[in-house]
Amino acid sequence: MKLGNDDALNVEQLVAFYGTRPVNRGASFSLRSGESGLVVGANGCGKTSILRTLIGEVVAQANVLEVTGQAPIFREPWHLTRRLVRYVPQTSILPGAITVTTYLRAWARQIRHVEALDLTSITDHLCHVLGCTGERPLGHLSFGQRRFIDLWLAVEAAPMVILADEAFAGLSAAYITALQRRFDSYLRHGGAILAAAHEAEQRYWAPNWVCRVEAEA
Amino acid sequence: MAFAFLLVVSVSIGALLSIAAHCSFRAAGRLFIVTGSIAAVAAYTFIGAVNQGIPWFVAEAVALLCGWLLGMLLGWLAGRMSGEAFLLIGLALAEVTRRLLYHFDAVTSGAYGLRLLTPAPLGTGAVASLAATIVLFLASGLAWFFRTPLGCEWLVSGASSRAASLLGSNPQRVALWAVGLSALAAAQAGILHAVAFQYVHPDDLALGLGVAALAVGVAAPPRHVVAGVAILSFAAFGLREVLRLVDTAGPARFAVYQIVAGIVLIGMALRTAANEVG
Repeated sequence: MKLGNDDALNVEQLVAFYGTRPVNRGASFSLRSGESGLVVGANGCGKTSILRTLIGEVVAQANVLEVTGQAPIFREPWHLTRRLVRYVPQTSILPGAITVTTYLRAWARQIRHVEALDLTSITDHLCHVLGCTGERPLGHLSFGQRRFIDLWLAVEAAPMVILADEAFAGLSAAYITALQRRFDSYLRHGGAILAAAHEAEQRYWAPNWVCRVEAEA
Repeated sequence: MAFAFLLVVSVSIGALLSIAAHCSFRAAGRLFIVTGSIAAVAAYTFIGAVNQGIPWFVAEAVALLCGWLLGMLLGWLAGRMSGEAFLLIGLALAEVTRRLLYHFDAVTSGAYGLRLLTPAPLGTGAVASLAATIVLFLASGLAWFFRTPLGCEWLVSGASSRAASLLGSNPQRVALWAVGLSALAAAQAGILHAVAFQYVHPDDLALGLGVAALAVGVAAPPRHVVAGVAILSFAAFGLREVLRLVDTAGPARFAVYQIVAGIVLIGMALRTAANEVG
């Protein structure tokens, strides 16, 4: 896995909007391949909204807004998430009625660009770590198990950038250790990670920079 | 023999409608309530075309095309509105279709439906065998399809459009394809009805069967499509037709059965939907 050398993210004076209401004061940052950045701030300051603007889920205004060299298309996140960006929301959105195997097959279909993807070994590994079979519905897994799947698959998809919202919240120490190793390997291979976290969660990260976000008054 | 024919054909039509509803619900995540209306439009188109002297296989293709076009149009609309709004509009469209067909009958061949003037080229045994074969083929195909990567993508898209879009899948496109496939199955059910009974009435297809098919489609488990659709279709359609046959003197009791069966099926559908959310 060798990812691109361009700017993964380039953002100047980014403001997220809910309707006509601005959520945060303008945030500026840029992220290059091999780097990780951390967006921090109090509850409600717009950390999650900023991440969601980067894939087009939330309306944004900015002087510059480039994600892997492209502008996000509002309400059409698949243009970026198909190959370039993986967004891991704060709350897992894995569909409860779908089995682990079914979800992994659907996931693998979207990342056919990844060379030598061995779906069987990924499925076996995940099931081993989670202690379940592939026929288990995702809704029967715990919050931490679902979160682990989200984050693990985000790295395995080898995107140019991963957007992780409160990545380690609610995870056991064993899961966090395993994921930190995977994230380090991903960054060494040229990936980029932008995470959003509370102050307390900063202990899990050693980012290249920290961007403090403030709510719009 | 007539009883067996009625049972096989009724269950087959019900199963085709259920497969149609199942496909659109699982893959498009939409309560596509117009399944029966699409079947009715295809049945009317088929009989109308055959009565105009068009060869049977051409009439079949034309009717399938009409059903598919109607399904795609409604699917396109479905992608541009909320689930609740589409459900309401679907109910309204189904009733409008039924009313239109009543008027259509009044203009052409009276208020009692449209009759096939050309005798069917197949005997009753052949029609029953063909119906069962089509159902088994489609249900097996669907069960296989939902295990392929593309089918899995459809299932994820139907269960959560946001999860699908974050995987990189375009849920609107998936929904359109799924609804198109669903419309083809529904249209085939309508054509089968026209061939088997050589007569179609607005009350035969359209709203009532559409709602029942939807309930069966939602309740049928996605990983056991063949067994689920077959058993539930018998409960929803075959049993209904058998009761209609043996209970001709008691329409009120039949109506009560329909209401009870509808409540049970919709309850099953809601329970399944609640499990989906969980």
